[in-house]
Amino acid sequence: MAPCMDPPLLTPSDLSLSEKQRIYLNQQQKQYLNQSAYNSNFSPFPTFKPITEEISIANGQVYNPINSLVNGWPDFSMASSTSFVGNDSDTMKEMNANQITENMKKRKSESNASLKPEQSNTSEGQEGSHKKVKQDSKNGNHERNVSIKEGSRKGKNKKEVTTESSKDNTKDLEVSTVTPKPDYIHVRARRGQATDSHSLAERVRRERISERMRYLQELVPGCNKVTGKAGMLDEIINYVQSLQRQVEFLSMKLAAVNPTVDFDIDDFINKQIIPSNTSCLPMVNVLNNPLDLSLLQFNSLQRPANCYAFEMPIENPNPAVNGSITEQVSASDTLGDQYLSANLSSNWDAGSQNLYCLDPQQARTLGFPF
Amino acid sequence: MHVTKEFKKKTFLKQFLLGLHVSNSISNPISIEQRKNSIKLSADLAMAFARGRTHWTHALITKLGQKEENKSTLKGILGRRYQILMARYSCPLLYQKVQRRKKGVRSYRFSYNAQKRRSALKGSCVRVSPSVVARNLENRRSKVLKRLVPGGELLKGSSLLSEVLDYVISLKAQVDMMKSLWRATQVSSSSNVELIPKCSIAKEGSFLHYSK
Repeated sequence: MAPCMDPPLLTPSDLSLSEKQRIYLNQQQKQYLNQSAYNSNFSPFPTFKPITEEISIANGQVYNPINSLVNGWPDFSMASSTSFVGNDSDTMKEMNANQITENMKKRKSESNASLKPEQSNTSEGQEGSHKKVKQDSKNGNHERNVSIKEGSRKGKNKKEVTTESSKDNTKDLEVSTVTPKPDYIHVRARRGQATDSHSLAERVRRERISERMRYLQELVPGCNKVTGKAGMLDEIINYVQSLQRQVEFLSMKLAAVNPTVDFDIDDFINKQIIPSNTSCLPMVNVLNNPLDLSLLQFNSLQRPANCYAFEMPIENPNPAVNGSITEQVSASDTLGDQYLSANLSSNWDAGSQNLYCLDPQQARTLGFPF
Repeated sequence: MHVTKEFKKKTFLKQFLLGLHVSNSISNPISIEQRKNSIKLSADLAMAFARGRTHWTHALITKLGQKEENKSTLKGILGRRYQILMARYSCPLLYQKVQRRKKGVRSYRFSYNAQKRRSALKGSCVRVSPSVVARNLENRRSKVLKRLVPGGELLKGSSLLSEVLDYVISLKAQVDMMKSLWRATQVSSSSNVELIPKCSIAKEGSFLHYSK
């Protein structure tokens, strides 16, 4: 059986099933080789990679739920390949394994997105390739290379290229199209499901949404027990509201403390914050700074200090409260009462003077992403 | 927008402190409420700047810039860039679009609900399939979510969820930073700074992970 069949128009009757498998298998191998070359460097989810770092650093511990999810997927799909049932056991298994690995590392899609299609592929078998070939034949007198690119644009079924020469061309094309990574989700039509474009687009949309929901589920605490979109949305809403309320409360507390910052902001920022090493506990640097900064004087008003005095010890993060820290906090309460507002006025003036000579310089030094 | 957490924290802190400076000096706020508002303003602005260019940051800055009481503070913080920023982000057409869309949704909803109501009034049993119920619940909740997230009114579906994701992360970071800043003020305002042993400060820092 010739490895490369070059019919001008593919019809299912032209090729036998095993021939189709063989052709597909060859393609997958080539594509897989291409994928593995550059996929190691390719961050599969560019918008969400920083989120994993953010989570890990925010937690102060190495915790990469999303990365682990990403890395866990190849194993999962490999395991799912064993449930595949086919006629020609060897080639089918091979084909399926290669299918799955190839589908894991799609050319223009995030590899995360292809998990669901992977799961659905296990029962697909012959029908799937059959349909794909059919679609290819429908769509394809024009350049097969172009058809691959076009076909994956909408994220629908992958088009197949069945010729040896065009295989080489696709290899070149794939290598050249490494850099643009739009968010394509490759979906394959399952057996018994509609293959028209609307339902496919629907499925793509649903997969995208469920993907985002999964990330949100990881992020929002307490979302693991809830299943279903409505419940999770509920949790997310509660969480966002609680975070916003926390911001309000913290700003109130900071207002009570009344940071009349009369230190040299330039000095403070340039010396203390910028050279701080990027450890996994960046906040340690921030807190160590007040020790060095004798200039950092925070005066508190009398009345607000009284109002919030009893609230402050409560508001300390519960698991974190150390004996020494509570002592310090309670000490500051009593001290805060002693500070008079007379101190404030002098500090205001000093602060404003500092500010105005620093302001234009400061605005320039700050990163202005907009 | 690939923004690492480290960079974000520094930017946030710088911007926040600058905002505090400006708000303290420009308007001499007397009441706690005013001070709280100015602090919150500078915190939100700092968060938006630290995150970079996303949909919700633009919407947040626009919203902040349109309130009358914030304008002076914003001018102080942004300086010359204030005009540029406001010119870019204050486009009234955007809001018109939102209004139009809302009307469309409302009319469709109204007709759909009216149908149900009519059939319910007639006494016939309205067989509302569970999928419809689920969809209604979801729509209601996503409406609420849209109101919470800045700029969320215009989004829907997966883009809304991705914006929410981004916004939640930034909010968390903002809360953490403000907490640590507050703790810094507590620590430094206690009587003898020298007496505080370094180990307690280190412990303080180690506790600053986000606790679920």
